Amino acid sequence: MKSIFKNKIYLVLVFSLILAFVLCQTNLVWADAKKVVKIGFIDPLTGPTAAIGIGAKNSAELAVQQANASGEFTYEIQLVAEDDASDPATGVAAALKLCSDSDVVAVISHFNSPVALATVHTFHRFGVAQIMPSSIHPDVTRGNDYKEVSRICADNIAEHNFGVDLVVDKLGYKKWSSIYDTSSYGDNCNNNFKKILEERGGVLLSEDGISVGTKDFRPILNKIKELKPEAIYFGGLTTEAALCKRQMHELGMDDIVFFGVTGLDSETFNEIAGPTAEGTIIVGKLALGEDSDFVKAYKAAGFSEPYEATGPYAYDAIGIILEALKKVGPDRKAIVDYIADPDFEYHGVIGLTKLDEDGQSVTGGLTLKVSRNGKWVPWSE
Amino acid sequence: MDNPDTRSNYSQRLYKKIGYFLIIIVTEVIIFYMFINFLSLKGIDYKLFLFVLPIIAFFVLQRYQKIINFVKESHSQCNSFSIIFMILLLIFIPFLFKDNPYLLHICIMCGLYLITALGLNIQLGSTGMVNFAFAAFFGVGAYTSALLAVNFHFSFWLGILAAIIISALFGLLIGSLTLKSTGFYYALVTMAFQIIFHLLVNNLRFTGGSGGISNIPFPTIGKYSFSSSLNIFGINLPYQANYYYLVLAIALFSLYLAKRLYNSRTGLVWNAIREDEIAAKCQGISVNKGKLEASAIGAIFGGMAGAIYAHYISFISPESFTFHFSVVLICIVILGGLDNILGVAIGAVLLTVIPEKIRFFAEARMLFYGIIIIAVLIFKPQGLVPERIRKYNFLNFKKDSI
Amino acid sequence: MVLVINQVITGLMLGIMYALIASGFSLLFGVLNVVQFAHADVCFLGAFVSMAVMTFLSKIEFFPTWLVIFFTIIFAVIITGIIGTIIEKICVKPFRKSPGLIILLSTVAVGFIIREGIKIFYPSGASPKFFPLSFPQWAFSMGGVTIRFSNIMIIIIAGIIYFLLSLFINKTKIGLQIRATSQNVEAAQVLGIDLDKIFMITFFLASTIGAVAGILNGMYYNIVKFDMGLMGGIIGFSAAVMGGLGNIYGAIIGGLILGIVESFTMAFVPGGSPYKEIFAFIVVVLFLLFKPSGILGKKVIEKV
Repeated sequence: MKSIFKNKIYLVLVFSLILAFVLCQTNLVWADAKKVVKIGFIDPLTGPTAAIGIGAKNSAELAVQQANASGEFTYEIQLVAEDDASDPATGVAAALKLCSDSDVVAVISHFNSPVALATVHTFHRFGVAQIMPSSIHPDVTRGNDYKEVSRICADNIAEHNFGVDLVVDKLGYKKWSSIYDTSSYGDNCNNNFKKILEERGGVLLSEDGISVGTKDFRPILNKIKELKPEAIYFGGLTTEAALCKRQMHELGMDDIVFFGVTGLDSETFNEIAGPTAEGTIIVGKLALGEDSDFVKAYKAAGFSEPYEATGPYAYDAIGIILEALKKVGPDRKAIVDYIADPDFEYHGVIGLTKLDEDGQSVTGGLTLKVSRNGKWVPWSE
Repeated sequence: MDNPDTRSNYSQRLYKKIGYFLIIIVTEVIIFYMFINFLSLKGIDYKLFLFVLPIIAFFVLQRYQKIINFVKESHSQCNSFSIIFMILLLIFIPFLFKDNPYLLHICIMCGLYLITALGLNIQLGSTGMVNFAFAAFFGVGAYTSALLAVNFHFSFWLGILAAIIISALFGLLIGSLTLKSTGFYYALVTMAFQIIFHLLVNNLRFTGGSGGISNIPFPTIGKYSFSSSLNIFGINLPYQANYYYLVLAIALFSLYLAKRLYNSRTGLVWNAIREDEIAAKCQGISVNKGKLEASAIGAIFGGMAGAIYAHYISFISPESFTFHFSVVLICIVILGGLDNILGVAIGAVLLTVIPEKIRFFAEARMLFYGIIIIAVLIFKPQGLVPERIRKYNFLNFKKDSI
Repeated sequence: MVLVINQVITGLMLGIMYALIASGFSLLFGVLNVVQFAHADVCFLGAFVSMAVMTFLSKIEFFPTWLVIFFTIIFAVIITGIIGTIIEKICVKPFRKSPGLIILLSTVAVGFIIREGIKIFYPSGASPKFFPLSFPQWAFSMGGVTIRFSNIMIIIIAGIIYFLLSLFINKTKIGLQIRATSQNVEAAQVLGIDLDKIFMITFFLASTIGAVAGILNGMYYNIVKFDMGLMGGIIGFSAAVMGGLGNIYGAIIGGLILGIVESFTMAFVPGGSPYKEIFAFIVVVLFLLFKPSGILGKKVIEKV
């Protein structure tokens, strides 16, 4: 044993241990010159819906930059962006990470409803205000009584009411077939559509679930063709919808109207479906004109990615938090109470935002759109 | 009795013992300390230096086998002390992280991955069954306890029991369907089962579809709910501490169980099957029984971890139980070392912590796992901690004489 | 009846795609006695390579469109073939002496690297990509049964590929060497066959066929996505196993069966379309239970 203690290398070990301890104890922290208030942001920054998340993140960053530049705040506001990769477990981990940082006063989060459904409990537990600019599942706000949770876009039910008004009541299509993807989004779409359609006196001839990533719709379309519906409802997302529309054309089903909700609202639909997209009707998110302040500011800020459909909502969500910071200061509980106040109102890029007792926006801008010459254009009679 | 010889012998032994203890304390504190610092690492900062130093020290030490041997010797001689001291250090963790529940969350995930990987190790490491459906075992446990808790208000403790039973049955089912298929065919069937499981939970109504099951209740002991913050000696620990201790206890128990299984006849049978099925058959080993046991017992570990996971996250959805997760688990076992329990533990901790901590890895997580598998297979096919040669003292040999 | 015929046609198309992928699995297994699990990822990588090549070529202005398409396909197929041989060099060759399952694991990892690599490094690779090539939209209809130009083209292309493949394997000297290696590696080595060369050529061959499969898939379904290789791999592997691993004609039969099972499930099982892969896998598991050697496979005798 003595031979070991004689060995120099043992000294290296002890030395490294001591150095490690010393280094740990000396906190080499440079004092922040200015107090920092953080606003959390969680969206899919990687994964299949990354484009939407990045667009929202850029818009949120824009809002924060503008706030810091305005000089209205005595502290610096920082946006802390976390990735949920469209995965609930990752989302919960990210939410925990943000909530456990005491500088974070509120969080903007989640494009994907499953992730939102998973994290609301976390935000509630920590008492952090969570504003959702883009998830769509009604239960996110209606399925719980957490006052921390609010959403500023229309939920799925509102979207379907809005769309069915046109296609069933005004245009008079009564015989429908539904194709939906079996994700929670598609499933929920199909249920809401079915309910609303049947209330308005329409008939659903067939319902077909497909898994996300399906690329061959011909077997289902062959079957639907035999049923001769007047219109096909698609509850799902862009890619599958565009493929479905394309294959409808191949099977000679151009006379059947194709209708969907905000899941289809992306130019990718027109790109993939090509000329066959013509005449597709959707309930779209709000379309901002090129001359609106937000679009101009976004362009001027020089982000390389487009702001996507959720950008303006994310921008407004940050706007609401900034408003709260101005009114009640950087305190988690005060911000929650401020937003949950029944008299709360906010005028932003998407227009007026008012929340009901569930924290669900009752306004949330929607537009009807139709595909003309490879572009979504607002519906006109 | 007063023989001076004996006395000096005694005092020599005492000194030696104290030396061992000191070495154990020093090495474990270093490892623990590195682990803690790595966990609390934020991006790349000066603390990274802390890892470089001991790693250099480690490589320098490689040239002085005497020290390595001495460290090894002290750990094997005072095995129980080394284990108890490590447990004490682990118990201490929530106090260090009481202001940062996120780090505690990572520790809990380490524990859960560890339990699951131990189960996979029984199949992949001990028995040589390349099981690509292990995420499904984990998922069966999670869904069983979550569904029972949400629909029938089962308590967590009953739920975990049910999860164990159901996942064992599931393991038996897959095991019995794959008895005939070996090698590639076994791999293919398990892949198919993994996909089938994912598609089923993703599409069936009662599992909540792809929306999953949310608001799974927290475990309770009597009136005490796991969602309330834990108060020990007047120190308030975040609610994660409850789960941490639960997971710690179960992980330790699993490690103990895995160790016992490894040393038992069953473990030997599994190894015989892995080495050569036909030779094993010729020696009178029931290959089918051995495989079924490996399937069921492995699944039990997975199901147990799954049940805890479901209650801890309070939300599960099919996306957590994909083929990717199976490959991550395989990666853990391969990196750590096939059929080596210590290795699996190290692999689980490393592969949980590294992707969480380093941003680039988080984005390219699966790429990272893929590269790790290939790199380990090429450069260190035995894993970080190679499989040990079994030791037996048939003829009352001293433990370390073989 | 018309519906059934239409479904058979769509199932046949899917089946041909699966068959082309499965043939690669079988070819590689026949020669190397290992499963190259990343094969389907290589196939879809072929589609991505062709997209990249096409973007590059269409920048050259004086090229007429047909020339661009021609060169795109040629280049994509060759590049994919080379990628296949690189995979062989890095991830298969070092393990040739290890148990076969090690190669399975390493190629599963290669699959992950390819998929994630596309996702991360291809421009916005995470979202589904519209495939720029497609067949002309001509079609003729006969009593409700629609036959499209694309259907006929796919059958013809697949036929040509299999014809050339069998010509290559049965009539050329290298083909002879490949056959010899697949029968007995040691004996082939004794006879002076350069194994390294044979393995490389086999990988090149399988990957080029895979690239054609990937491109056809893109042209027919108009979409490619980075993660298609995962399901494609498992189903292609299943098809090869059903047909009898190592037998290319078996792989064709296996692929067609799975394609038709999937398409029929979608059409005729109420609410069955999300479960179409489950039905396919049930067929596979049943085959493994009752006929483990596959439809055209040799009976394997356990040697002690």
